[in-house]
Amino acid sequence: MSLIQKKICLLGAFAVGKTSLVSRFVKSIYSDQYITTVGVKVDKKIVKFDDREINLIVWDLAGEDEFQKVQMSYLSGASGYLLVADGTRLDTLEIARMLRERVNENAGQLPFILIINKADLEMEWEIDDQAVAECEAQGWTVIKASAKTGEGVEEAFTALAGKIYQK
Amino acid sequence: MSDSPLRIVPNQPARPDPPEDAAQNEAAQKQAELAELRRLLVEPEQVQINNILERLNNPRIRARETSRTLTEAVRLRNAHDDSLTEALAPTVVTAFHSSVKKNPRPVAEAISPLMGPAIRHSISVALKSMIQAFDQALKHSFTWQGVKWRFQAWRTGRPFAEVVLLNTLVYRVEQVFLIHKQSGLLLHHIAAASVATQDADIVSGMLTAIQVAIHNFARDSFGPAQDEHIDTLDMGDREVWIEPGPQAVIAAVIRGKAPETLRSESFAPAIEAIHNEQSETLVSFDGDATPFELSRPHLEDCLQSQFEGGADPAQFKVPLYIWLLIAVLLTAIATWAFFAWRESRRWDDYLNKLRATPGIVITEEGKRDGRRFVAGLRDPLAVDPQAILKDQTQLDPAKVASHWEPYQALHPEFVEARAKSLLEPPLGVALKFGGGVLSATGIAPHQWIADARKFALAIPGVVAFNDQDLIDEDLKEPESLRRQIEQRLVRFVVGTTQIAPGQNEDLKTLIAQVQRLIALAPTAGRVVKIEIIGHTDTEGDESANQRLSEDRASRLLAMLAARGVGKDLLSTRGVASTQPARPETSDADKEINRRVSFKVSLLEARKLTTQSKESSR
Repeated sequence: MSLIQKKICLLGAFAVGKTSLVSRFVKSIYSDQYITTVGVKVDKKIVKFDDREINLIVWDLAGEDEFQKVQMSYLSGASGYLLVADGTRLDTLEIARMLRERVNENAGQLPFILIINKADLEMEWEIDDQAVAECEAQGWTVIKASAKTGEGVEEAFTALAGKIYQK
Repeated sequence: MSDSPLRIVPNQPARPDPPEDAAQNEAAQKQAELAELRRLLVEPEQVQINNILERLNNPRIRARETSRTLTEAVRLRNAHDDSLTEALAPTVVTAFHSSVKKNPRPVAEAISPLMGPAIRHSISVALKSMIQAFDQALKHSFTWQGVKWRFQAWRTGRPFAEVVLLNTLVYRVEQVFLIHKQSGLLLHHIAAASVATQDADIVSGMLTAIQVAIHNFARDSFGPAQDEHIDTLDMGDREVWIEPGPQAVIAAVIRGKAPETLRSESFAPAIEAIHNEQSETLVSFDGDATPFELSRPHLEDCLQSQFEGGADPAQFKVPLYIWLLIAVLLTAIATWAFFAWRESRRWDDYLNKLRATPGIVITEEGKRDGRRFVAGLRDPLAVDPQAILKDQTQLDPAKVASHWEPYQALHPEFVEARAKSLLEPPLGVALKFGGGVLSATGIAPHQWIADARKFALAIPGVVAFNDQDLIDEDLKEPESLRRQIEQRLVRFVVGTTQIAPGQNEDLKTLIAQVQRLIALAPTAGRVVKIEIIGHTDTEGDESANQRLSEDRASRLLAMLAARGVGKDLLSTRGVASTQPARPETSDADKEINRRVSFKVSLLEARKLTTQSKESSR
């Protein structure tokens, strides 16, 4: 128990692949079978950052869609969060922007990273480089990742841990 | 507040001076008068005020005065509220840290009296739970219910003690989580002995998430409610009881039906105590759960349990019949062990006897299907192992299996025994074996000796046959006859080949003896050769005597031949007077010397054949 624990949340639109990202990150296994997140799934992963070990407790929140809103009360006590968008669906970036505003209203300014998932399908992306550049211009950290290949996943989680510690 | 020292200065005119000199002078005049008036009016107060200022501005004096009231002030403040404690806590913590960093010894010395009791407490809790599980198991081991539970344990693959525990359980607090209320992060976690736990970090998060979810649902369904919290989660065979505090929550996983008093008597005091002791750490919690190790004793107090029938280990007594059962079992085991030991001793004894028996070689022994067995090699001449088993041991022959392969032992006594059985020596012959040589002594028939010579070397182990001390029985009479014949002599009339009278009976006996000798000799494997030697007295010419002696020998040969003696067995020789029977001092001596004598040889039949072959060549 000598590790430092940090709670982080995963937020994003419905079916952007949040749970797959966690699976990839925590167990390094990708399941092609789509897992609909019903409520909250809690997992953990130890990351190393600056010679210290951080026990990330990952709260994977249900995806936002027209029927279900992400419950902001789940963010209570979180040290940061990951916004997840699906590169092949432009609307998921919009939902991510909206979710960030809701977080700011409810939980205040928290460190976050924008993950654009499905980097393995980059040919089919609707989110173009300009949209990414706009986000970065606002000071966001954007990481392209693929839960399927594992690309960028570890990097995104480690980057968030870094941001939490720079705070 | 300004940070410059306080000082009262004389009041300055508020309005600006008029430009004219006259007016200026007048004003100065008035000012001086006013000052004088003020001096006259307030000088004593002025001095006092200056003294007070002096006291206020001098830090040494101020410190001295504060020190007089500090204790009282702290006491008053603490009686009022806890704000002073709260305000001081960070300073104290920092001071503590820096003190430990500088020199940990004073702190270690200060807390060491606490460590002992804390460790003892935790050990006694562990022991108590172990003893409880064991006692439950023992108590239920010998009942019908116990058998059922044992079957259940076997079926489910759980330890028996655990099955008993679960079946007699009224309730048991299996795990206690101390959870940071806001973030759901785990501060501390303990579990009862032998309880399988999942990843407590994740469980802590999930419990918190569930609470939040339920809270949201309640809010959405029934409208907002102030300070509402979930206190029980039902999870099938277990319940999770939640006892909230301002910063942290105790979540206890309980199996069975726990009384409500558990909450008021254990959980609530525990969470309260933790908040009292660690309120600052809780407020400033930023992910480091290490300090909450201190909450362990409080959480351990929450690990309560209750079993059927009071389950007080101290009151539990082993029933008498169980002791009797144990005694009977022990006696049975001891008896069995004794008999097994004795049987084993007897068996070893039998094997040793077999090993010591010549002509028996054990190659394998042991136990098979409850029966002992022994296998090996046995010389047919050796003692029968079955006889040893029957006569010299107390083993039951029916419980011993034996298998013996025949072989020939080369022990001297076996070679000797085998020689005896093979050669069948006649009475009066002794056979001895040693150093590879079979020796025969005594008297034996000629045929037996011949056979023994032939067969002795065919016996395994015999390299030589010694028969030097063996007497041929069949040669006895021929030898005697030979000696008798050689002692005989036939006298002659002087100067002639005429046999002197009066020797008729002697001649008859001679002929009979020769005939018997010739008849007997083949039984002893001999051939008789008789040399007939003619003699004369010393009278007369020697050459004439020579002729006379030869003629006398021939005369006897003719006589014997006429009586059926084969001429090939006979030979003649004349020696004149060269071999007198006695010195001739009288006529009687001469009479004796005029004679024929006999030289008898008993030649071995084989040798004779070889000789004749050689001579014929």
